[in-house]
Amino acid sequence: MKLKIFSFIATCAFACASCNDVLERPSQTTAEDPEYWVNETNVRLYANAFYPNFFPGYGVGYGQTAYTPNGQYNFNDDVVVKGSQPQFSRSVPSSKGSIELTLDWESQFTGPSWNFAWVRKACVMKDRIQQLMGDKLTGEQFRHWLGIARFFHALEYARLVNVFGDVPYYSHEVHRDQLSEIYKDRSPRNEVMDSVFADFRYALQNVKQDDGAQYVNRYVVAAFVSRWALFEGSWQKYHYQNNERAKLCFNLAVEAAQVVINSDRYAIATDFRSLFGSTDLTKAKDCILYRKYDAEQGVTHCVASYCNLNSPTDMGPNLDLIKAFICNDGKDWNSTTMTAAKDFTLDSLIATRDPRFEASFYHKPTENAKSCGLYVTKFIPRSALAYLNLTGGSPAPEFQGDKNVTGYPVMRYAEVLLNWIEAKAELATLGEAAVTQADIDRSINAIRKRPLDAEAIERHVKQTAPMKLDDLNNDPKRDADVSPLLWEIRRERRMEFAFEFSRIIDLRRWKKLNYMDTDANPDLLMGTWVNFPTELPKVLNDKTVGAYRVMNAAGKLVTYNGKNANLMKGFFYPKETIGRLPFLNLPNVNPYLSPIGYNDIKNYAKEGYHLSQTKGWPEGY
Amino acid sequence: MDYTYDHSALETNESTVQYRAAQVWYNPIEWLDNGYTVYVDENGNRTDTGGIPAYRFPVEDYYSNISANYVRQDTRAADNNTINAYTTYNLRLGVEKEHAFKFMAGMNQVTSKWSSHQTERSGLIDQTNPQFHLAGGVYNGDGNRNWEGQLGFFGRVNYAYADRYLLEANVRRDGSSKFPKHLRWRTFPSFSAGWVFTNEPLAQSITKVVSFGKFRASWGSIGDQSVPNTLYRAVMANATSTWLDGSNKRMPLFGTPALIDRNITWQRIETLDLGVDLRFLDNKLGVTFDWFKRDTKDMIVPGNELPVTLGTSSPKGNFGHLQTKGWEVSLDFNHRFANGVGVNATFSLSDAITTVIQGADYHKPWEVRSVYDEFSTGRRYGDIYGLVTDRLFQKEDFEYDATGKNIVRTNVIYKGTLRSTNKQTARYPVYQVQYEDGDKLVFAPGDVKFKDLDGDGYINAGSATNGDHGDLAVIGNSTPRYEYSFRIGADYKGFDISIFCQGIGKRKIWGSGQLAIPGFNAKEGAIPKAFATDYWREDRTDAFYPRAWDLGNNNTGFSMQRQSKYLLNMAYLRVKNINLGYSFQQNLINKVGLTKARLYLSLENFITFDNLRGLPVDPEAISGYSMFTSGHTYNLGRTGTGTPVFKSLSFGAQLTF
Repeated sequence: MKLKIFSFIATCAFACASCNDVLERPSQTTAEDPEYWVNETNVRLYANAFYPNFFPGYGVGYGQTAYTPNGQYNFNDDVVVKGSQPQFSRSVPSSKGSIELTLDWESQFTGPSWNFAWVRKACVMKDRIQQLMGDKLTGEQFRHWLGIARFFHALEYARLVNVFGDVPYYSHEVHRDQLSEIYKDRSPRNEVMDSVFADFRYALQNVKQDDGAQYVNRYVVAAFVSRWALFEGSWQKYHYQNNERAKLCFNLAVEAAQVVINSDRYAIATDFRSLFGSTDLTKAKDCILYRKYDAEQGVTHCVASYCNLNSPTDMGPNLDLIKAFICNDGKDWNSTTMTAAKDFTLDSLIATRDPRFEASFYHKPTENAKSCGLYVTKFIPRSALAYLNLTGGSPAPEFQGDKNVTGYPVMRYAEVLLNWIEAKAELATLGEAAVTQADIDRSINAIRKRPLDAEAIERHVKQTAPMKLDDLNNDPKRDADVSPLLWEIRRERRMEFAFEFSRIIDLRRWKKLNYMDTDANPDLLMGTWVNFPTELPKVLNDKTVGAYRVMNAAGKLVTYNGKNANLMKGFFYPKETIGRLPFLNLPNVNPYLSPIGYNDIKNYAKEGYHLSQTKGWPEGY
Repeated sequence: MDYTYDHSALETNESTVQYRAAQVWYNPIEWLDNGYTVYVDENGNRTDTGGIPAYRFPVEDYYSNISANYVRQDTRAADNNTINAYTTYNLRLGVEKEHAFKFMAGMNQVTSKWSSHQTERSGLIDQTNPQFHLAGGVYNGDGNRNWEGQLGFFGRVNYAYADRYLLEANVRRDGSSKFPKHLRWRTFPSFSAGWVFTNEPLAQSITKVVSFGKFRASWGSIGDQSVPNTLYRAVMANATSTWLDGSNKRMPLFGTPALIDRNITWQRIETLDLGVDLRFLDNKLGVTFDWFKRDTKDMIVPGNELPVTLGTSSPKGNFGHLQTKGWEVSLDFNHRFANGVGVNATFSLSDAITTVIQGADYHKPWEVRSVYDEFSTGRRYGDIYGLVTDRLFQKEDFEYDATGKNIVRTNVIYKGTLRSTNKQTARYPVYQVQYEDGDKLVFAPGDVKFKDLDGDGYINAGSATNGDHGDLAVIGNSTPRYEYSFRIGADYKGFDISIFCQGIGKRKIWGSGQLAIPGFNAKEGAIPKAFATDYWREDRTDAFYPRAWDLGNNNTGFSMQRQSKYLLNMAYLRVKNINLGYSFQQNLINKVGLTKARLYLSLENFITFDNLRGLPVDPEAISGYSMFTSGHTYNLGRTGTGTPVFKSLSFGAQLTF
């Protein structure tokens, strides 16, 4: 009995003594703020998380496809969809936005949703470097990483402003008790962009010129600055007629592009098709930043699979884009003197148009391109389509499903050149120095001199003649308010970036969304010229009566009725293709900027704060 | 006192190889043998005479779901040390020793730690023998470890007076390693009392009817610390990016630090229970009734909801309070008749309702709280908010043009924008433009007509808050209510039979997936017969389901908003077990050395009565839950796609030697 009590008390005492040890068991395997910020490696590891978000390339797998070329960029005047065209949203949503660090986007604006998680991430990095790492990093490292933090911060805000116009500006991490900061109203666009440009300038001066392969360096920064400064400049000029501010932005774009051009590290050296279908162009002179993929690392994508001609697709190039391609004598198809150029059969188009036409599309019409007859093959290498020459062939496994491993030039030299020349041309219209022939030779003509690959030469593709300022193409379809030089620069941009990020952003910044009005321009709904009896004879049979329709040379619609196969020669125009609902000049609808959710506005009001709706959308809903 | 040490070691080996099989992703291609077309007859067999050209899926090397083959080994070792020590002391006082005291004091300590390790290598060179040394690809690995400890001291006093009055009091003081130093320890007391009133001298007269009766009441608290030990630290998660660096390796990264609350402590569970046990008729019939109220206080939930401009979610803290009130009653009866027939029966019924007393949005005024938030303050847990279905639109509801084929369009102004919709013939039409897109998705004959509860002429959810919920109402509750079960058995001369049934009185859910939502996704291919034979068509206007629409892989959309008519009614009664048996007589089996021999036939889950109108969904299913997975949703959260309940019939013999 006594022994029992004694041993019991002893156990308790023993346990109590080790009390503190037993309960002192913090997590051993987690990195914690603020102890994390001790050296440069840690800062680099933190910054690595920004890359897949800002430089998505071809995305990953089937799940992360926002910002990927081809399938995702179908909301513009280049693409026709079989069925109803994607509509502009015409009502205010109940809520919009999230706090997730994902690749979420607004597809109509090709930009981020009302999401400040990436802003917070960049602010944390900036704050920690400035407050905690002054003595832990050398001067050069400090300036470089602060520049990187400010670059990503500014990049996210430039993208948010693209979508929403005015956005609340946060330059430091917000704590949850700072309610007046959290609930503040949207800062005006100009104020936000001033801070963005200040951040961009700091990054341009302080980010290292070379930080290792696949890491952001000064040239990557400069290229992105040229993109967003050009964007903002056009927006200020065409939407607000604020020429002073526009000049500021265009000058920054030119300055940033000069950083890249003057470095002499880059040139146009790779043929067009190989830019998108290679597996490693990290050493190529065309690529300022390149995203690589690798099956063993489990990083693959699905974009090339949609170009392998085996999967039928509902979207493709429309006649408006096809007609926009310049003929290789440097004139548009209406003004050209080459008689063969007026013939719209695919073989003739390949031989007469800019080499980028042949590189972007398959050389034969196919019914697999269900909306237009012309299949986009820009993003798959030529070797992957060799299987079509064998009967009973199918694409190689790496070009099926989401197993693709081709890489994407996230930022290429051609974009910097086009940003540079467009900014210069816009400055010329605002009273600054005129554009010289030397400028054109350095940019547009350098791109036109891009090498041709062997297969293109076999198909009689020729480089387009250089642009001459004294003999500029005068397109009869040119808008009256756009100068001939700017019109041609815009055309180069359209050809270079077909099915990539640029077109819808360009239409919005030039205030030309009316180009997407399908009632005004019937070419937007038609595809390429198809001669069914000679080019697609097997497609017309008893089972496909009523399935195909063309608009013939006389402008009449001919639907296949089983007997008129020899009359089926015209522009591919399925009867299911329907135009877009009206979206311009509607009261309380602003197709240029995104609204925010009305529930968010109400929640602010209930707390006693005010959040404005985007201009052009109804306040108070 | 006891000390337990247990060590568990788990090793998992896994590998995936490449298949060489027919790739069914694309169309079949011509079957060629050495460049010559293969011909098959009408049964698909190769033939050299006549026949038709053969097609087949291309045979290729491919992987099922991954990009490369691999071999992987996971190991995990865990150690647990448990020390329990307690002592008891009995004390009897009083003349007849009628005051019985019992004292107990003790402590327990639990410490555990685990570590895990994983290595993976790709590029197998021998598909039949996956080993690390028979592969040529890159090595990938992972490892982790963690530890925790709990220490507790407790004491108890029991007092019984003459087996009539019973009292008990407990107190615990617990500490856990999961919380910051100043909040590790908490005290949890509990008390209970009971009164066996049939032992009272005054109650002797009723013992002929009530042979045993006891009232009891108890209140107790206990702590819960089953949460991660990093809640009060600003953790930066480690991961690898999908961006490849200069040497083709994934870039490692550390994530954004989480926003945290540094004052996290124990969650507290308090239970109050009042009950009565009664036995009648010489203990033949028993009734037990309990009423309970259980509060989970200081629940760790996210704090005030802040707008998305914060850039991250609100930190979690001990803000939550959940309360469940319920009752249970059970009866049991057994009796043996004079002729040897014995009957026994048990019945039980219970019900509970849970209410969220304080959730993450407790600081907001009641009118602003979202109705869609399950854990909203003041919300009864499981309430489903949805629209109330009126009926299906029919042809008479719309105005047609001169040809009689097209419905006339009209324009309405809704929330400041002009919307085009179909013109209705009703004098005061109710417009449902919130769910239309002005293009093809416009309500027409065969689609659902909702009830306009707030009378504003439009169907919408308002701002989906308590104060403004438009036409939403509580249309059901997803908590199972009124659970009941009963068992009836009889035996006579060695034969015995028993039936056990169990059921739920009330449960409604809005299902998910192709078995629960008509039109969920046309690409799924098959739909339940209940949908396919009962949807609105011009020749079948009295159907249950509306006009067929493809919802494009969504559980709600257009006509299929959350609504009262298409909620799945998951109330059911299931005959879980029917058991028939025959026991041989003792004198027969004793000769063989057996003490008991019984033959039996058992049927399990043979009959289910449900209210699902023929849908192939098991009424006990919970969307997204399966015993095969933990930590993530099963089968994308679809209803009824798990393993069905087995119906089984078994027979056998039980022999006892």
